[in-house]
Amino acid sequence: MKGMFDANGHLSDQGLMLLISGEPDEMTRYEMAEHLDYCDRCVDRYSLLLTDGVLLAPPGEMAEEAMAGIRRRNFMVLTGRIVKVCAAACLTVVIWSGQLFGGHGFLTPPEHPDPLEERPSFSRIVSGVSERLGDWINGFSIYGRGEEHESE
Amino acid sequence: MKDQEFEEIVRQYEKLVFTVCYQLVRDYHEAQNLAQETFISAYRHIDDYSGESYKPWLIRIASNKAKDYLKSAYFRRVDVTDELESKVTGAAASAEEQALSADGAQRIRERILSLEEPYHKVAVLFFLQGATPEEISIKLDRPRKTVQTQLYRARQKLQQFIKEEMQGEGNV
Repeated sequence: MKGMFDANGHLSDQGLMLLISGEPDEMTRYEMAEHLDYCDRCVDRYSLLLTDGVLLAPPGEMAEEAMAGIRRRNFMVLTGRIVKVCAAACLTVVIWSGQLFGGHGFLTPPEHPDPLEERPSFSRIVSGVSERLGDWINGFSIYGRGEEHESE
Repeated sequence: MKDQEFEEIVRQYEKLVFTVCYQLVRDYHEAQNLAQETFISAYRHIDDYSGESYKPWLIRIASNKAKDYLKSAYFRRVDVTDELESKVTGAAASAEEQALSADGAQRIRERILSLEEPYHKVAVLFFLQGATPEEISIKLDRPRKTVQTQLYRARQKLQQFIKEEMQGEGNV
């Protein structure tokens, strides 16, 4: 369709008027939509032409339907986030328990006992030392048990 | 922004958005769907918008939605048409090369110069001056993607012209 654009590639006044009156074919409307998508100047000019006299009432309850669509979208976004968090939590538990890589995790006991565990623990070593030390000190004591008995 | 405040905006601009969508797609049902999509997009980005009036911003989003719809409708039809044409005429893609080999370069050049906007400048810069889509995008202040689709359609127009030329020659 001719005359819809001016020599600079902007929408012509005639083109905008024809768009409002509904004459351009589909291809021309596509070209015009493409131009309006990036050209602020033509959007402003088109905006001035869209007065109350030319505005159409949408069929049905546009506001309710749009808000319902927004609520649906919000619900989907929230559900998606919950699913992601749950998936991440499950993955963390699986990795933590060592199931994923077949190794020994932190929560599962190893199949073979750790040889280090057969060694006496530190507290046991300390208590053993202190018992021997006590006996040894008692051996040098002036008031040893034998002497105490003798004095009795 | 609270949902209630946004609902007020929807009520205020629903006629405007629906009208823009309808004027561009000329289908009541599609215009209704696109208007809803426009408001959903607006809701997602409204906190980033810093302009004074919502009117031009909503017109732009509505135009974008209408463009995407018309583009998909256009390409669906073109694909089918191309398929049918290639069955009838065989190698349709080689028509341009045949025309060039038949010394039709001058006529193609004239045809490029006679293309109307929004194809004239992009076609001249690309086909005759050898500019890249990036350079054209910067020079004409158009998005690169838009330049590419305009070049694609300019090329289709030229191919159509060449086919008609060849058919005309064949008839003579």
